[in-house]
Amino acid sequence: MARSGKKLGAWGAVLPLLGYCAVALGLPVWALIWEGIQAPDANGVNHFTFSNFTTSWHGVYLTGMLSSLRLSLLTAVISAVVGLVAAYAIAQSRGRLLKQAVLTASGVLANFGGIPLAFCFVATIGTGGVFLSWLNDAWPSFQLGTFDGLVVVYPYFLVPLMVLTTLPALDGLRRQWREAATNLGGSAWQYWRYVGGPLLLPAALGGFVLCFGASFAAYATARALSSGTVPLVTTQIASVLSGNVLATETNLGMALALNTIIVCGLMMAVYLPLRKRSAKWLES
Amino acid sequence: MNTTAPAPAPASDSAAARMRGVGLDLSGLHRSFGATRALAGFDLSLAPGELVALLGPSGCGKTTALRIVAGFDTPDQGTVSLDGKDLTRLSAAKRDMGMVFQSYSLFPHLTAAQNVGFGPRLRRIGSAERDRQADELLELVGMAGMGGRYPHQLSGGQQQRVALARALAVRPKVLLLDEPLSALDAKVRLQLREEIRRIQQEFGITTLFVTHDQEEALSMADRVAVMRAGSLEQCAAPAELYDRPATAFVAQFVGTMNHLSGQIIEAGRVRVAGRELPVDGPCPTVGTKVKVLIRPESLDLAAASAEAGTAESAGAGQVLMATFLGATTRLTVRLGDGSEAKADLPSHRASEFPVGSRVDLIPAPRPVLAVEDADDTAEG
Repeated sequence: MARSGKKLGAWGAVLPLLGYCAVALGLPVWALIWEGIQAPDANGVNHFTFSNFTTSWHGVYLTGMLSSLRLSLLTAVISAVVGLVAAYAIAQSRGRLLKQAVLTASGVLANFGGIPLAFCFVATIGTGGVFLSWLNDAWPSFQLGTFDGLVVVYPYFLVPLMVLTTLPALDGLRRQWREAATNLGGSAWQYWRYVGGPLLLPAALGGFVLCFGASFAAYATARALSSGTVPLVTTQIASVLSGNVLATETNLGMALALNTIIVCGLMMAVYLPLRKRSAKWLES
Repeated sequence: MNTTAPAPAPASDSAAARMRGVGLDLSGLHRSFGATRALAGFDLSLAPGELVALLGPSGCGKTTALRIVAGFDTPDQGTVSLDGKDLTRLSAAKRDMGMVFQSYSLFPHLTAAQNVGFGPRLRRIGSAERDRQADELLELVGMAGMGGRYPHQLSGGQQQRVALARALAVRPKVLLLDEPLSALDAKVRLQLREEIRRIQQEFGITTLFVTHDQEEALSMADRVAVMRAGSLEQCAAPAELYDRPATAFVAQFVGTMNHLSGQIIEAGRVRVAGRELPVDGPCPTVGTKVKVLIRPESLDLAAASAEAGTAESAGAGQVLMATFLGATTRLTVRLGDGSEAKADLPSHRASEFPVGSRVDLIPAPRPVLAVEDADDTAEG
């Protein structure tokens, strides 16, 4: 009796959060699904159809999806590698102050996407900036508003995200594990191969998946820098939703948005078990 | 410093065939961390198959000494040698030593059997042989049938058993135990220390054991090395260490010790509690006021001889407290000079001296340690 009362109490405590999630996440998703499976006929009356989803996987929209996946994969790989190395360097540092400063900065920078980041690049680098001039010498075709430009810009908010995700795991690696491995005859390489690497893998993969998702869902930075010339799912959604040529494109935008949610949902489905496993190992 | 002949642990024939201890020598070890001197000329020798406990207060350098033996730290001066071979600059991975850490340190992503098989795996031993060895060792440490469990599924005591099996799996020449029982509860600690000793004796493996728990050290070790401020105070068999401490520090650190006021009355003799006793070890000059170190079990009590209102003898006092310890009871007596003394009596006898009763202290007629009374020196 007392136990079931406790359970009810626990559920009661999370009710406000569940309510918020239902309103802020559940309703919009439901609206996306509802709008995505409808299209107006010649008289403007909505009817049920899968045509929006079919269209969203063909032609320019398929190109946009593939381009988004390619950009996300590329920037996630770069950010995961750079972020992991940076996080390792920070974890090895003995300065607690430095560690806290980097963590705080990462927390801010991981959210430093969008217009502010694009503005920083344009303002400090710009089309005639020193950095861009230097980059153009080595890479003549490079421009900020292209796919390659986005590959350079995205890691500025993805690397801090990777640092934030993996630093706790790196901090969780105990010195005694390394000493135990050494004591049992292991070299530094064998320690990373059999102990450190496997222990970090879930956190590193989790960080990569998060970077992938964050890159896939990024809109404002790409929009501000490329003005929609780089075909990406997010910029396409904005185009069809703000377009005034065809009314049916609103429903297509909903279908595209739902595709994005599905990709990000898949990323979270991969990330959460990895995060749980990492925590079980490193916090036990 | 005082050292006595080591008493190697007996090894059974089968265990001896598997593993045999070697002699370990630490000579003139110095180690400083900035301005802090952790070791200051530390010497210690372990005979093959011997278990020596490093005992001392926090910061005395015992863990530093162990880490230098393991190869995790390098001394500023001095050598570590195994069977006469200098290991001082050899990497930890090549020393053939097994170590059990204070906080288990099992690899959390590996099962108990995989943890035990980790060392053999690095030595490229086939999986079938590794599994066989792991099963055998897990059975030895009382963990048969639990090889498939992960560390988070094991209790602290079970994890430490697996850690011991893992350390033994590489057939080390020396076993190093860094406070392996300190994180465990009292009951498990008692059980595990007996098992560690049994296994150590069965394997006949030379073992260096760091602890700050004197009961643990005295009950497990062939010899106990008491450290203070980075150097060795005394290394002796537990009984000798307890009965014949070489220095006042050892006497105070190991076991409970009374400090009774006395005076040297002639060379080698001290008067304490109204009795004359022979002085063991160095004796201050005649007439010096001293503190006489006597164990509680070396003190007896008698009902006060002085009548009320008459002068009390030097060993007279009043029972302040009685602490029941089972077979014995510890009586705390306040003496005439305001100091306190503890006497352990068989419980049935202790009941003759209720709290508040007047008693006379009777030191056992055996040699005692006498050190100059610091208070008296300061005043003088």
